[in-house]
Amino acid sequence: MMVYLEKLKKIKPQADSIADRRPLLQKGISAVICILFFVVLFLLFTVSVLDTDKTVSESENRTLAKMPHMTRQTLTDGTFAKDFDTYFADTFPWREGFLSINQKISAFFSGTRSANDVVLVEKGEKDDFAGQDMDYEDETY
Amino acid sequence: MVFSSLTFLYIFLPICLVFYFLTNRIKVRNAVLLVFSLLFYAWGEPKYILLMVATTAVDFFAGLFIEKYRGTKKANLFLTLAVVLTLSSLGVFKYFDFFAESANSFMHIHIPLLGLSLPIGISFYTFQALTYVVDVYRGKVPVQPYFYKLLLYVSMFPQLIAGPIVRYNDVCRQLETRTCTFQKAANGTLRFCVGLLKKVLIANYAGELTEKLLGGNLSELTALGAWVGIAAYTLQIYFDFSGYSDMAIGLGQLFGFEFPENFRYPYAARSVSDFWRRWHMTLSSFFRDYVYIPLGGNRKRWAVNMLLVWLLTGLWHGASWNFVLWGLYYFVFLMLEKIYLEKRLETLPKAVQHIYTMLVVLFGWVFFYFEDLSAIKAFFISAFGGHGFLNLTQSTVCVNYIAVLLVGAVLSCPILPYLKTVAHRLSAKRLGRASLNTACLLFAVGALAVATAALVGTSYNPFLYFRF
Repeated sequence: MMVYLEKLKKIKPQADSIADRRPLLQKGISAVICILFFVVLFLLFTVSVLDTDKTVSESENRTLAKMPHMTRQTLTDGTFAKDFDTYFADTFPWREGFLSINQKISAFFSGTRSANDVVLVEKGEKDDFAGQDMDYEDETY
Repeated sequence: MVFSSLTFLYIFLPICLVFYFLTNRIKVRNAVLLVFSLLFYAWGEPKYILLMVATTAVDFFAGLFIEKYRGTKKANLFLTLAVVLTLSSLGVFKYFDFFAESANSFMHIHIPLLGLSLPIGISFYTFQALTYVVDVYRGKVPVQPYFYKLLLYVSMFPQLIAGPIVRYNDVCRQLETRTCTFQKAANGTLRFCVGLLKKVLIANYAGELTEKLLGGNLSELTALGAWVGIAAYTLQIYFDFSGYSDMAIGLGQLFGFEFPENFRYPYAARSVSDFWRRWHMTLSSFFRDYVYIPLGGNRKRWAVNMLLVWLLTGLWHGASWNFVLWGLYYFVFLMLEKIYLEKRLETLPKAVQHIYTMLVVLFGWVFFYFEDLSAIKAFFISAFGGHGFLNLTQSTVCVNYIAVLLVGAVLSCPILPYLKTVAHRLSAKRLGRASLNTACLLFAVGALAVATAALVGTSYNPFLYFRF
């Protein structure tokens, strides 16, 4: 073992390691960032473990995924992992709040903007708009 | 498991951090990291974990024997054996069906296919294991006497499944001793958040746009749809892959490691050779140091060596003919530049250099995106107006996603490094420094909230480099 470490010392270290650069972040704020990051992760983890009695989503009008059964079969073929990921996302703490943030993000990046007054809808949904004037802003004149 | 999943962020990572920072004894920390890395790999695909351990074992024992018989012919033998065995797992699991199928159709024979699924990260970890055994042979690194440390190096979860390709040489010292400071960890956290946002905001939305335009019937694709579609794919692949590298490097810092950089604003390149010095840097330098130079490098048969390297680079990205074409495509441009274009290009205005490079790269991704050769042909017909220049549906799709195109294009330029130099200047003053630090804090909190929202809200979340 000692021989290995001796030899290791002989290789010259690479230049431009991260530690060489002047740090932008101060020590105090670094600690705050690290601790805050960890607290957020751990808090959501704890809440998700304790808060398990959500089974229905009112806003989406559907039942949420259930905790999958752990068997040798599902563990080895990967279906447990897949189902668990779905279950975890479905019962995530403050899910409704996160969903509404996501709607805003989605509206920004892929929002329904109109080009030449055309709005795209998914196929089969266009009857939902039957009889409605989509361009209600133009109604004023 | 992937980084951009709620299970990773809110179950795996917090538990791993708790155990890791319970003590500051390096042995315990290494053990914790190893156990969690194996769990990370086993989540979703446990059966191939044995393959990874076996590959590591081959290179571990080969290293010991090479050391024992150093200077004799036996050392060469063990190196050859290790390289052949390590590459053969890649050959069987990744390439066997491709070559068998090609042989079957060209020569009208019937080699049965294996139909194996690709083990996650195999293209990355086999290369990493190779750097160890080759560098031991070359005397660049001391032989590792402990198996678990080599296994930790190969399987370390931040870089396990999609790079960067960390060489043993890069981290061997850090496996023995490394410092964890709040500053390093905070930098890592910020880096991780940047990567997460790149992935869940830009790559995913650009991916949706790509799918809407290029994923449908190509005979209905207009010129506008084709160009915007391939531009969207250009953004998707960069933000996807560089985002993953950012997350890997950031997580590494969190645990006290320093991994090599993988991307340096490739789309700001001014020539194709410049592009390859900025794109997936750890892969190109791997091929340079472990294939090109051993073959003779620039000194003998350099053109043949180049051809071989680019054929392999193409094939590394996937076992399919379109990737071979993609590699050859870059070989042609790199040769052209080396022989003729490079000097002339430098005399032209910078804008021309950028446009030339971007066009080559953009068309390059066509060979990358379409695995079917007839689809590539159909795409080029569309791109030059074979099916009309624009129609209402496709122009509306483009307008809907305009934000991701703009934001992606702006962030592909080296703006962050520029902001960093500004920040350094600001941080000379006390007030500037304080506000800068607060901004970083707010960024971290905001990024985590936004990324979590995106992950809760979307199930569409594929990693492109997962296939390799």
